[in-house]
Amino acid sequence: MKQQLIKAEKLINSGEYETAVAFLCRSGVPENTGVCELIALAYHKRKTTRGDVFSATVFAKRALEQGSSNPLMQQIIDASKRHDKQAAVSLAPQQYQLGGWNEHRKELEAPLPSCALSRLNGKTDHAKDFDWLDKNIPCQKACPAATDIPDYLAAIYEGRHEDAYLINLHDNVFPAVLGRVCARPCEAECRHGWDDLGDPVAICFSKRSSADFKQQNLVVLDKWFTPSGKNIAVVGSGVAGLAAARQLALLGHQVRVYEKHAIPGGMMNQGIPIFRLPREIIDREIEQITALGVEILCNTEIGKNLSLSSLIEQHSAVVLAAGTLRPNLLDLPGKNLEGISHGLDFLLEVNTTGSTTIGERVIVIGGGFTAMDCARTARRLGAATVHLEEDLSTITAPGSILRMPQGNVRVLYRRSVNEMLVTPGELEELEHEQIPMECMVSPVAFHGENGQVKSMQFVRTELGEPDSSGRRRPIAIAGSEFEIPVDTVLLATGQFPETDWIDDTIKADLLSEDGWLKSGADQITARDKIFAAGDFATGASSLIQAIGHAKQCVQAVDQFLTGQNRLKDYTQVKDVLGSDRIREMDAVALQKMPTIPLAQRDLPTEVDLGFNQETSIDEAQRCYQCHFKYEIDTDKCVYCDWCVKAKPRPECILKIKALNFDEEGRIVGWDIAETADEVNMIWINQEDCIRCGACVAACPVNAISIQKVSLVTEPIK
Amino acid sequence: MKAQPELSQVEKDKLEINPDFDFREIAKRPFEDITPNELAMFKWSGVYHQLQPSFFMIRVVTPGGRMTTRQFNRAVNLAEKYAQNELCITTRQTLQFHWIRKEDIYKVIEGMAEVGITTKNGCGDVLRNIIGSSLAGAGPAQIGDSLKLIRLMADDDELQNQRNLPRKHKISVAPNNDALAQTLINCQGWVPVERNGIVGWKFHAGGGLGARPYLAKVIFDWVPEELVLAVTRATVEAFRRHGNRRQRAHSRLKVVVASMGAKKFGAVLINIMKEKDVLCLDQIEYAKDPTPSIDRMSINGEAVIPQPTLDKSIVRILIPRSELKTDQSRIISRLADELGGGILVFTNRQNIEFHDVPNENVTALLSTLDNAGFATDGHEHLPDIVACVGSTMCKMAISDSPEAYYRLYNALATDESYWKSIGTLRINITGCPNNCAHAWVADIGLRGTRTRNPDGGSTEGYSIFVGGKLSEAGKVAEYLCDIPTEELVPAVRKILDTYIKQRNDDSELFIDFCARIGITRFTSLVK
Repeated sequence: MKQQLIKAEKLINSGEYETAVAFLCRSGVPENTGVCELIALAYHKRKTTRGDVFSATVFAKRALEQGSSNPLMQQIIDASKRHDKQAAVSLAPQQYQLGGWNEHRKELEAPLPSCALSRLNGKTDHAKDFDWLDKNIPCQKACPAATDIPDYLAAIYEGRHEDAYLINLHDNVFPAVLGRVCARPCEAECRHGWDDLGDPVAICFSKRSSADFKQQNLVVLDKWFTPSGKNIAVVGSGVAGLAAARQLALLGHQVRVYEKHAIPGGMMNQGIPIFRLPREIIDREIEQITALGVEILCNTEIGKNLSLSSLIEQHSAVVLAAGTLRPNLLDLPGKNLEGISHGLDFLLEVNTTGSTTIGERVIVIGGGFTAMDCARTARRLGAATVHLEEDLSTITAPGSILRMPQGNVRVLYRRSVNEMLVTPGELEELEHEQIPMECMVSPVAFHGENGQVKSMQFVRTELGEPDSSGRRRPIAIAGSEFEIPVDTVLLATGQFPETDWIDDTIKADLLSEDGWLKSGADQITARDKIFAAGDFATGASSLIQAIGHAKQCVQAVDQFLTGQNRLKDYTQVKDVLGSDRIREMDAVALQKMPTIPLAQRDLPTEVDLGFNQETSIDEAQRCYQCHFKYEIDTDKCVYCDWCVKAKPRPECILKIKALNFDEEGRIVGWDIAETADEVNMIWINQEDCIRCGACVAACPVNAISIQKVSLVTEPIK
Repeated sequence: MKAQPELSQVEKDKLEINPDFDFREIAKRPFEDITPNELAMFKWSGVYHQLQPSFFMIRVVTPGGRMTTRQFNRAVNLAEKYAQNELCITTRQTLQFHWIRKEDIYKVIEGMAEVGITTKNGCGDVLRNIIGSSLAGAGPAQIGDSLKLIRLMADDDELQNQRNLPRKHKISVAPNNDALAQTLINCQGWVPVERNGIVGWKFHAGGGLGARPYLAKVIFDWVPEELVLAVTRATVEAFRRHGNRRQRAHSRLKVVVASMGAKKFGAVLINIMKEKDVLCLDQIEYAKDPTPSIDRMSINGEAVIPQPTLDKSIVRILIPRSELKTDQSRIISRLADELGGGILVFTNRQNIEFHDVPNENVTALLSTLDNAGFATDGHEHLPDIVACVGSTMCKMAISDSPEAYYRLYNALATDESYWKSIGTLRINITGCPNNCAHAWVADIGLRGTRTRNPDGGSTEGYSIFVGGKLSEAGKVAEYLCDIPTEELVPAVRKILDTYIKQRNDDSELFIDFCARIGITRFTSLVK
């Protein structure tokens, strides 16, 4: 027994109170005086709740009754007593302002710094509120065009595909296009895809379904302002140029877009294969822009047909959205051999003419969107010598990839899959289309015969420290060189803005010596009246990045033209009674995008079939609806902890000693309370909240409100 | 497909875990091998994991709140051995053991079983201990034999083996139309009615407190006594069918009845009985008016209540904070044998009644009790405070309600002239919104809370509600104010002084005063 007491005391001294009590109870009912003394001591030392205080006194009393001479026992009993305040008291009902889900909040300033937003209801433009949006709606934050993703997914869930399309159209200009080929930065941030929470919502494909299941008429937005009398030239009709044009038109400006190619669309038309993006989809969404009065002049090359200086003279402002058309060619031995071409040229030719000449053995070098598109396009162009099984030959389309020899098209990339800038589905499709990919190999030289490339030499790599792009730098492994026989090499190794077309006088003002804009990725260039949008300023990125950049560019243009900020962002807060979600929706599996069988895969046939109406709703219900804010009214709360007991995540509801704020009043951290008396508030950590509503169901006093918080952009008239 | 609601974890557990645990096996099993889901299902055997993880609470089942001294002695002996020398009386007229080790659970359960007391259905989503008036079988002006019906229900296998109800189910059977039986806060409330010498029963349903209180409605004005069990069973079946298993906070029968209305609920019961081929259903009369009309409590502070049976009386004692220490229990038990009728009844105000005390023993009993330190004065008055265990031992609690009890008791109940000047007054203190201590229906109800301190931390306190009652149609007490625990005594004193000063006269009861002035005026009076 003595040894047991010593061991228990050690446990108590090391702070393992509960273990000590359990240990002391193991040998029998706690009735021995020494055991009772130690149980009293354990609870007395912990003292985090009134339960501890009480437990300590129960066992201290018992110890004393049994003749304990330990002076601590009486001290424990004495310390448990709290005293009455006999002063005159004022009996007032508890006041609170936030209230619960069934109460309406007034449009007032938030009463406490701990409130999630600066106001209780209505519209606000405080930094704290935008910060809330940034941290709480990760998909929208990740979208360069700030698409209101939760709202359109809610619309799809309710079967309002029309509304979902409109939300998208407003925010990202090309919903049907992006619903197929967006780089989907949103999905990488989706809360549903966080550790242990499953797969992100298929946001991109849902966007496509909003376009697929709306009425197939043109959707023309209402303009925000009456005609301004200003006319603006946009150079380039890619997504950046067209997005800029659309926004400028909505602001009431007259816009003319100059395009050197025969058709508008930029990379949408020239780069992305038809089997990923049918052309009528592009045409329709461009038509929705021209319907606003935007003029597009094709076959008009600035610097040739018309100089940039004259453009500047004729217009109130010029937006340069000329994209990145100068290929990055590998400066390796043998680079001038026949059979080596840049992937963009290859795609442009195939996309424009429907064919091109390639050899039997094709290598694509690179690990981005262009590499994937080149490989999958080349796979559809293979040689005529095909051996098909009889039963397949009848059902297989003439240009199908199944008629091509497997393995003759392959992709090689110098980093690992982790560093690739593609969407996960694309890699799956590469594999599905039987295109081998080899990572961690870097090109060393081209070898040829009679001026024609015949093989390529590679070296294996390992990954070193991150480079300026943030990706780990490939380092060649000495002695690991190897050679691959090849007839065609497609370089998907990046591209830069083409600037040869800019007048020399302007060039000096606008560009640095390396050919990039002096203003970098900024929308405002080094010269008055000239603005830059999309890849031309940022370097090659994604469609959605270019659209987001162009939207910001237009804000700068409009400010330049009107001298004021005519579009303003607000945070809109609205009371709601519930989220219309049930917890089981979280467990619904990610819906797979149906695709056409390999036998039908050729150049013009779209691979992805799209969700049907039902699966689009199935998928949309998976969205947590992060725009809902669940917040406890700390003054209405009775601190019962029932929400804490019901919480699904370790950190979504916390017992807080203090919140930490920055100078703008934003919540930047917290201190956890250790004892009941230290708890200053029971607080929903909205960044970890998965909007399940379990807390609202558990709260016995209706102290938890639900509000919808949205980013709105409104014209100031 | 749109996601469909699935069973909650509790509902799955109820289907997958056999609630009839072998506690001898549990005694041997390492604690870490008992899953949290199993632990939660211990409740079906009356076993509740205490706030202190090494200990359990065990609640027994005593239909009608009655125990023989033989049974009570067994409980006392077990408490002495395994429960730190203490028993607690609950507001549902039964006993609880605390501080039981996992290894000793079976010893308590088996020990009580040997004297005919079960713990089965002590807690959990089952039909709980059936209550009624503590005066049943002995008190004055009794109309129906409520004890007979309680026994019938307690022994009915169909009712007692309902181990998967949507939530707990509570029944009260009263011997007369007296608020003492708490008819209006039970899922089923049975009240006898006499017509032309024949006793039938008025059936109320849909009462229940918890965080969101509901008062029962009258469903049937008349149920022949021989159909009472059928209606009781049908009500449980209706609960099984219509109770919301999806949202535990809204799963009790009270929500079913409130959403259907009394008339429709009655029709549902009739249909269920038709399905079961119950005969003579046309003798059941639907309620003409669903509004209950329960008489006011017939007792008011009496220490001794004469029994209609010749030469016998009921003697009542107050049990401070419902806590029975072993030595006190032994005195009570001995006196019940030597001077009483060998029967003890636990009241819903957590006190004890000696029944069948021969009148010639009453004086001796009173003086012996007095000498032993038991109070017999103060029932239904300020000293008769009800409190749950609060944050001392319960996982759900916010405030230390036993401590609040002692604060009020020591400060206010010791001044006899003061509390007598107040008159009838029931103070109930509950540690959390679950309202186990029935604060919603007290004259003054205190519910545990905490309040944020602007300069850090929070302070334990109480929300004070006033004017609740269980008579007539009943009334849920209305919110008056919040008060920190350390200001509780002056706050309650202020409320009472205001009442004394503002009441029409000494005969205006606290509840009538509340009703007359209204909560808004009351609030301004105590500001």
